[in-house]
Order: sequence, then structure tokens, then C-alpha cells
Amino acid sequence: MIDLESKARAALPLTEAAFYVLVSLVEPRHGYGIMRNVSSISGNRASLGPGTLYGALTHMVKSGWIVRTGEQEMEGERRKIYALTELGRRILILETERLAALAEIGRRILGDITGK
Amino acid sequence: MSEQTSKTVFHFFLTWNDEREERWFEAMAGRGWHLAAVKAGMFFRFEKGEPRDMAYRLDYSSGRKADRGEYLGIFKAAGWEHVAAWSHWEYFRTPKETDPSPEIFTDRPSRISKYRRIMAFVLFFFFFGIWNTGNLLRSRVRFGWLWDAAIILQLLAVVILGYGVFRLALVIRKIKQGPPR
Repeated sequence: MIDLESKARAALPLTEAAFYVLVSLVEPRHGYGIMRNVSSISGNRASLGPGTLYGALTHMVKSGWIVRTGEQEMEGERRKIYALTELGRRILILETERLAALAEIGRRILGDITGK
Repeated sequence: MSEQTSKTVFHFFLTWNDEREERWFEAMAGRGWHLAAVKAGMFFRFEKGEPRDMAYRLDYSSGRKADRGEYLGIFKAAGWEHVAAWSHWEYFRTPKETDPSPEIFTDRPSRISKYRRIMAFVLFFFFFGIWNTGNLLRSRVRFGWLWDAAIILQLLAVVILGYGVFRLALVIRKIKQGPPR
């Protein structure tokens, strides 16, 4: 779908927080699960504050990058579960490719410099 | 004489000084006075307890009440206790023992959008004030000193709100130029 592709491209580049949220939602998770996952996959290098996370989630739901698929009852509290949409998945893939291409250029040039 | 267990303190903060407000709550907690309730944004009730090193943070919510449970749930899961709410303001705290500088916003865009939400609110009343002043000036009915007083009050409000817009713009600029976290 051309429309999906151009919509996905228009979303780039992502903020680091947005990237971490999308990459965490490759599996459906609730807010707390996203925060824990971000700390874990980044080796505690990154952390998402609750204000930042909540803002990102509401923005992404509104933009159709993610959806709320249900609720989970945990410790007497209802937590909403989020999952990627087709658009969200496409955005994540394109952003990963974009970052990889940049990193590749950086490595090549820096490799040349430090190699001297 | 019995020990005082709670007290209400009057303190006037302007919207762009929310970080000063946070420091004040932290200083109070350090002396054993823990925030318990906020009334009208100016009256703060504190309860006496053990002095504790706490971080206080204020958020300005976008006001969708339907989603409040999820909003507060995410803060709670992240270790933040919701202490009080007033208007769109939400007051949170967490002990500093595990993380000496915990933040509810961990990047620049989200910190900026908080101040943009405040800005939208102040701008609305700023333009409403200008519009209202125009109406007063154009009205044919004039009540002498009462009319003059209304004009002066209205203009004063417009000036204060305009100053607020200016200060909020400075806060946003400072965040943009500051460290990423």
C-alpha cells in the first residue's frame, strides 16, 4: 500500500523514546512492561519516565501507530495492553533501516580516520 | 503541648515557576512535612512524619478524564505516588533513595510538550482578555468608576497573562538549549 508507505516515511525520524516504545511493542505489552523492557534491552542505558511514556502512548494511539488491544488485571489494577499496527510496524522497520544506514556511514568514515 | 500533625500553608506560585514549587515540597519533606492535599492551587496541606529525601514532580495533564486510570497507573508502576491534583496539575512524589534524580519526563520533547500544554491554557485566557477588553471599550454603556475599574482589572489580567506567555516561552527555550535529559 503506497499510502501506508508514505505515512510511515512521514513519521521519521523518531525520537529515541518513540523508537524504544515501538521496538518494545513488537510483543504486546502494558505500560509497565514497556518501561521494564526498555531498561532491559538497553542494558539500563535508557529509561522512560512515566510522563514521557504516557505522552508517547497517547500520541501513537491517536496517530494509529499502535492500538489498545485489551486490559490486564494486575495487583488490583487494570493495565491497558498496547500492540503495533501495520503502520507502526512499518515505521519501526523504516527507522531501523535509516539508523543502520547512518551508522554504517559513520563507522566507515570513522574507521578510515582511526585507521590512520 | 501536643505536637502539630498537620498544617495548611498558603503559597502563591505562578505557572512557570513549577520547578520552584517542586523544590519547596522537597525542602518541606526534608523537614518531615509531607504534602497531603492542594486546594485552589495556593493552599497546601502538609502532614507531619519522618524527614525523608523525596523528589516531587508536577505534571500538567491534558485533561482527558476517561483515561485517568491508565495515566495514574503508569506513574504508579514507575514508582511515583500520586499525592494531589488541582485543576490540570498533578502532583507526584517518589523517594530519592534508589535514584537520586528521578524524572517523570526523560527527554526534551516530552518536557517541552508539558509547557506547551500550559502555554495553550494561558494563551486562551490572554486572547479572551484582549477580546473582553475590546468589548468593554466599545460598549456604549459606561458606569463611571465601576467601568473604569473593570477596564483596569481586565488590562492588568492581560498584562500578567502576556508576561506568563513570555516566561513560558523562555522556559521552553531553556529546555531546547539545555541537556537532553
